Amino acid sequence: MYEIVEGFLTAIHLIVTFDPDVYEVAFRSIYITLSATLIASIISIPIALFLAFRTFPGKRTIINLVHTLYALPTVLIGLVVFLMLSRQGPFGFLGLLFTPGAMIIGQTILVIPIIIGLTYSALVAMDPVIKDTIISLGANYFQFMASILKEIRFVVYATVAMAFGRAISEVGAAIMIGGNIRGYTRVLTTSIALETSMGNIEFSMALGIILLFIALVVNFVMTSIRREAD
Amino acid sequence: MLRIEGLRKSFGEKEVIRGLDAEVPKGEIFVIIGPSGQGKSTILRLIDMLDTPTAGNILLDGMDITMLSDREQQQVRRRIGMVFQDPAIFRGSVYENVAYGLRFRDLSKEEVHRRVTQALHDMRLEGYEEQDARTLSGGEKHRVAFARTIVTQPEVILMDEPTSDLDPVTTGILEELIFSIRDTYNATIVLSTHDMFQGQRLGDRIAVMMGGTFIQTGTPKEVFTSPNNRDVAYFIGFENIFDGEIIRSEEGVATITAGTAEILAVTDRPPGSKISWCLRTEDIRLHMSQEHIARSPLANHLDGVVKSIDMVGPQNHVTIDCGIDIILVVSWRFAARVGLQPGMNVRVAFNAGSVHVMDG
Repeated sequence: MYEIVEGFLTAIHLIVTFDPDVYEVAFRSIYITLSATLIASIISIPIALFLAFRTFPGKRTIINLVHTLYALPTVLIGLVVFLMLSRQGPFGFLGLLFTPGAMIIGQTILVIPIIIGLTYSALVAMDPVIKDTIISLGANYFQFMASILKEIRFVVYATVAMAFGRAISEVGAAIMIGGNIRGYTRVLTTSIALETSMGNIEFSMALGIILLFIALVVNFVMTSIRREAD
Repeated sequence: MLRIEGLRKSFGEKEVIRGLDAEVPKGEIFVIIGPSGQGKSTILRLIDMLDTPTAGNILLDGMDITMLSDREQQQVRRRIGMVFQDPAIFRGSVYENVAYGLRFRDLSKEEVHRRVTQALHDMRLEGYEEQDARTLSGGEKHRVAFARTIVTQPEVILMDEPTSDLDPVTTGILEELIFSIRDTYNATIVLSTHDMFQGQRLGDRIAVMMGGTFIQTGTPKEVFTSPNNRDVAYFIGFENIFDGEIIRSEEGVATITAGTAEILAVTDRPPGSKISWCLRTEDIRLHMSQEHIARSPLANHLDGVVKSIDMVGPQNHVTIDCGIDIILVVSWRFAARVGLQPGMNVRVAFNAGSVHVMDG
């Protein structure tokens, strides 16, 4: 018990004194996850709009697949991306393995199904009169899509915040694809795993508190969005 | 000018619109009345190109709008406005809601402001500009929907049950606004309602929709006084509807079988015609059997027995067995004065001109 309390106090000390090692890892985590979430949003939201408003063969199967991928194990993503980017893999020539770029790819793949699925659900649950009214008011295709997104913007914000939370807390793929290289690909989750295994409990706890703080911020953002939407 | 020719619409196996024709001149309020589930909303959606007809044409100023590309549809749709039964309110202020359609039209900020301000004035929504539109009452939301539609200055305005679920006072206000929209913007209005009296109040012409088609179209007076079959008569509130046969006819006055009795009616139909006839409750007079009644050549008098007395609002609906069950209306005061009771012998009287003869 004493060890835990001492570890907690040391962790607080590391945070308030702006320990460069702690903050370097934290900022890298945020940078990688923000990049992945942004890229995934740019890819996923148009796909969700397409799925919601177009009819084509196999649409139901794709939607089921997207929902199944919500629970995709992160180590499996790590394995697939590792194989793709490894020297013998089809994209090995890019030299991305064990780089922040590879970690962004992994996290992007992780959250794309979440953003597609939740945005799609919001779109199909939308009052059809809203869609009809927008069309009836004379919107062209792009005006229609923009208006629809504007109407469900709070759901989209919450979905993106949720995706960010899922990506930043992921550890399996980050270790496999990033390699946990100090000063280069080491992020909050991989660092906590490593430092704990090495017995640096204080350092792990400091990182854990930051991760928890980020999770709280994400949760606060989502709650605020939900309140605004209501 | 809006013209509909042979319009049909099926959803899967179910045919909702079954060969429908109509012509609505510019500036007319054309009201589609009919019971729920008869396809009234479907017609409006087809005119607004939100659905595609299975067959037939819809012509707007001579142009068939059922065969247009997506881009052409969007251009034509900007000449049409639609107010939905349960209007959608977008997130944002009343001003933003009213300006919504104008944002699609590349208008200057000044023009948007001018039009929105005018529409808010016309719909009596001044002072609501900054209010969150989702916090408005039902009637106010309808007025926002009206404003959002008229602000784009459409040539044709479609209104799908625009006052359903609203209280009578709000309904009255919206009905005034509908006239004001027609007069101010000279728009053609096609409006659907299941409220026959609203149809009568608002419509320059009325179309009665049943079974997926217009079974009668005419001015409110034509439809409400001369229904062309039993279904229309029933829908517009005739309570006395009977089948019969013309057995004699002389100088436009026919004798018609009515159960065990015979009645006189003014009609040109020849003897032998199988017909239906109807009679409004308010056109029937009730007399006590012992009363002396001056007889006129075109008066019908039937003796009968009071079968039942039902209170409906401030009046009594009295059913009298005259061989056929005739329903008439008397005031509570009259019923009390004469001591009206079931089983009493009475006499009903009505003029031959009050009997409307229609297809059997």
